[in-house]
Amino acid sequence: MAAELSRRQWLALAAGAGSALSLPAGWAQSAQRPVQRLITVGGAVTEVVYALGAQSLLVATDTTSLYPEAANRTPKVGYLRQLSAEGLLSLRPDAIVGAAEAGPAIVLEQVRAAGVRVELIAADHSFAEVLRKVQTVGRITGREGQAQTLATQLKAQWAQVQSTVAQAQRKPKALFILSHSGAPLVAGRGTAAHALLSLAGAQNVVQQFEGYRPLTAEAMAAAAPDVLVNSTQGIEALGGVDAFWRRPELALTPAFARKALVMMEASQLLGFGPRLPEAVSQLHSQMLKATA
Amino acid sequence: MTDAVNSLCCEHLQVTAHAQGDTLAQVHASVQSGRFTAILGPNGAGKSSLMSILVGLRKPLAGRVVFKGRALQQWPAAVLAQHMAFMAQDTQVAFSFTSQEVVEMGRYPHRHHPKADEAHVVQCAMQATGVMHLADREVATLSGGERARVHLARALAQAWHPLPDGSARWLLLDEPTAALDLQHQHACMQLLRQRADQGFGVVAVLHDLNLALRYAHDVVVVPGGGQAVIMGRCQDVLTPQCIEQVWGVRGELLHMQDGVQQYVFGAAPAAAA
Amino acid sequence: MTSLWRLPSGRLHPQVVIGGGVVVTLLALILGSTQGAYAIAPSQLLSVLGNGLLGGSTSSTEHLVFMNIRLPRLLLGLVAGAGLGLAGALMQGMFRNPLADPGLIGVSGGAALAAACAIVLGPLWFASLGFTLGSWTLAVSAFIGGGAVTLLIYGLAQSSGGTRVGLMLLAGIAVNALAGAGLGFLSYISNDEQLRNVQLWLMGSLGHARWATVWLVGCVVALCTVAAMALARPLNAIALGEAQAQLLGVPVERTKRYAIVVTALAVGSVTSATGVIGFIGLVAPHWVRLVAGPDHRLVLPGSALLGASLVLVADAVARTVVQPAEMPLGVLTAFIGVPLFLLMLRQFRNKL
Repeated sequence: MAAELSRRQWLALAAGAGSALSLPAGWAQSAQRPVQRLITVGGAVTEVVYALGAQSLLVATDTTSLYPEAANRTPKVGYLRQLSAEGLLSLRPDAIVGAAEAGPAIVLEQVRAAGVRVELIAADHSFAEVLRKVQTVGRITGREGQAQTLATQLKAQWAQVQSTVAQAQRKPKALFILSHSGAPLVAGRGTAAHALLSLAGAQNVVQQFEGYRPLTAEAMAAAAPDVLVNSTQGIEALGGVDAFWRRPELALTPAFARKALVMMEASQLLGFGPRLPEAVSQLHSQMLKATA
Repeated sequence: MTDAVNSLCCEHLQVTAHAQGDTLAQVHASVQSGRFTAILGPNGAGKSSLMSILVGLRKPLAGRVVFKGRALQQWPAAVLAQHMAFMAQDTQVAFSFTSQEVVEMGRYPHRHHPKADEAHVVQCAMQATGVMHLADREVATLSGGERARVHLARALAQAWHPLPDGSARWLLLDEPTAALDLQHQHACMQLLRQRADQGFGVVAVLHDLNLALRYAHDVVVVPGGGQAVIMGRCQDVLTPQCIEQVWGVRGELLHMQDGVQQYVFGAAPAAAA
Repeated sequence: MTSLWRLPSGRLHPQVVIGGGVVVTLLALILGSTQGAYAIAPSQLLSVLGNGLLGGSTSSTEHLVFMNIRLPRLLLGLVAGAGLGLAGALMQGMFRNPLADPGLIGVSGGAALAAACAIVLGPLWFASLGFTLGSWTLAVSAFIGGGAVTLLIYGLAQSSGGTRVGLMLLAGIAVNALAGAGLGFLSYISNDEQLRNVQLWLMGSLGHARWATVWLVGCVVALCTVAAMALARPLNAIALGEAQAQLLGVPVERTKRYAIVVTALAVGSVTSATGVIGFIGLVAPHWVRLVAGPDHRLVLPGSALLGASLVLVADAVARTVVQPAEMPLGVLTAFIGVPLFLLMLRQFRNKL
């Protein structure tokens, strides 16, 4: 798992650890001071805050924080990769918790230098990532107890989901489609979607490349997925399920014959937040149903 | 002053239109200061190409130009600009420079040794060509003739003051009268003749034989087709036979009341070869 | 139309142009100082400045925000705008065309391509480079890329008669298209994070400003401005055409080479620090010429001053219009610049 952490994530971790070690005593004192104003960057992290009941501490979130509904009404600090130092500091936060991709690094440095606790959570597209998010948020918000409870709950859920998946008779061949502009953009190795499909007991039919890539109709026919997975937002953007099935490149796939499509809300599907066990469970059962 | 210092010599020059073109003209002649020399010839004969070579913009296929005893290639551009002013055939001025600013550019070669009367020089030059009233107008908005007179004023301003070494100043002009109306054609020619009489070396490419006959001392006829040029005094060279041979047009010579010879050209072409 | 400010030709006095430019830039600087997501009252601002200059107490957040975040950003915006405006004026003078832009000689295209290479291929090919240069990898790559592409285009434009400006234009179009294709390919093979980073870099931002960057870019731009003033009168003469300028004693080849080097340095250093910020080099010289005339002795410094002011004002808007988020600067300058450019085209349609 360590090998999958990108160099950038290592640097983020190292920076976090380094700053934790090198900052003067003043910071250590503030570590004990309870956090009263929190900014979260990254949809899953925000979800955890609400799950722990700490939303009263939340002063702002980023544009990828769409769940729950209340998160949409918080002030937005922009896209998680392009934050603004002054913008963050203008909200006078005590702490900022973010997903690993939060940046740019120099902005986070400047915010740290101003005395704000900045913690980024390494991503590896696994359940351990979810637990890390729960633990970190629990620690920062001073809700370790609720975090522990939630973690136990999630672990139990996860164990059940894993056993259901393990007992399944077959592994459906699946393909995750991110978006449909021109050629469909599908998920290869190393993506959150790929990890999700594997966790849900499916076999990703396109493993020859990494990241999201456009796929030609021929390649899609050759890959021959039995079921297609998409986000509800993606389907809506196309104009509905019927419009989706009218796409010519899908016509030659086995999935087309059965109209085997599984849709889920994007942030639940790919966010690797507290709804992960639920998402995997749903995905698994719906995929089996669609390919029955 | 020896002849060499006061002359612009072409030594065995071969003039071509492009670097690889056919030879248009052969020139082995020298032009003296204190004389107004006109370069005449039919279209495409190589007049403008010759002019480009004379000012050093282009290199000849063979031969060289010697200016004031030194090969033209050896003259540093900054120094040459103090001795010789050039007016191109048609200069498009970019941006919205005014006439006065364009004439002031003529003083650029002398920027390291400005005289006390720089502004006065510019004004006098503009007055000489009659463009004083256009001083604050953008050159790009002027008519062709007005533009030509502004550029002439610039050339005059460039060669305004006598040179410290006492050698002659030179004015080289490519078709200065092409865009001018009748009145200004003669005014321009008169100006150039005056300069020549004051000791300038003046060389101008002209289209109008009559203007050359009236105002220029000498003429260089470029027949084209790779032939050698014909050089000499205007009256001597520009005979009806020469005109018919070079331009293919019949001309009848008239003697005017003021003693100047002028031609009236007939429509009958030369006999077919 | 003579008055205290204007010459008979309707243009402003040179002293008014330069003096006015300095005043406008200072005003823009003051405006930028007071604007920002983090509210700092003017009185606090003065005390922070006082502390900063006299070395007083440094613990307040206002001090930190202003001295470490906002001030370097303002100063970077100032030198970036100055560099871009100056380069635009130089290129318009060299190409003898008021629609020329520093991008024509490939600096921004090359810088963008090199930056994308650093982002996408860096971890694969130059992993060790990343460690030695650290956070400077991107900026250094962009600078080198801009210089290399400019050199390529310059080389392509050489002929027996020296640097052909017309050839340079065509070579610039071709090479810029190639850089664009390269960018497209890199975008294709990149992962999401890299793709997003490339996109954000291309949109331009002053958000990466830190004091080291400000000093570096500031020194380069200052040197370029001083060096460029020597080109002012030669560029005036070049407006008559290169042949005529040569016969006025202007060292035309040297002037063009000089102009290209200064432009590449100024735009290269600015782009490597801020990403691609467009239209400043196009619009600033045009406006200066409108009020001050085309004399490059005024247009060069005037474009630097106006460019600085434009960037400062645009950045103040970028930082506050969607606060606490911020809009990429290049997007804003494009929004402002494109309508202005179209207006300019209308004005010039008869002269083109």
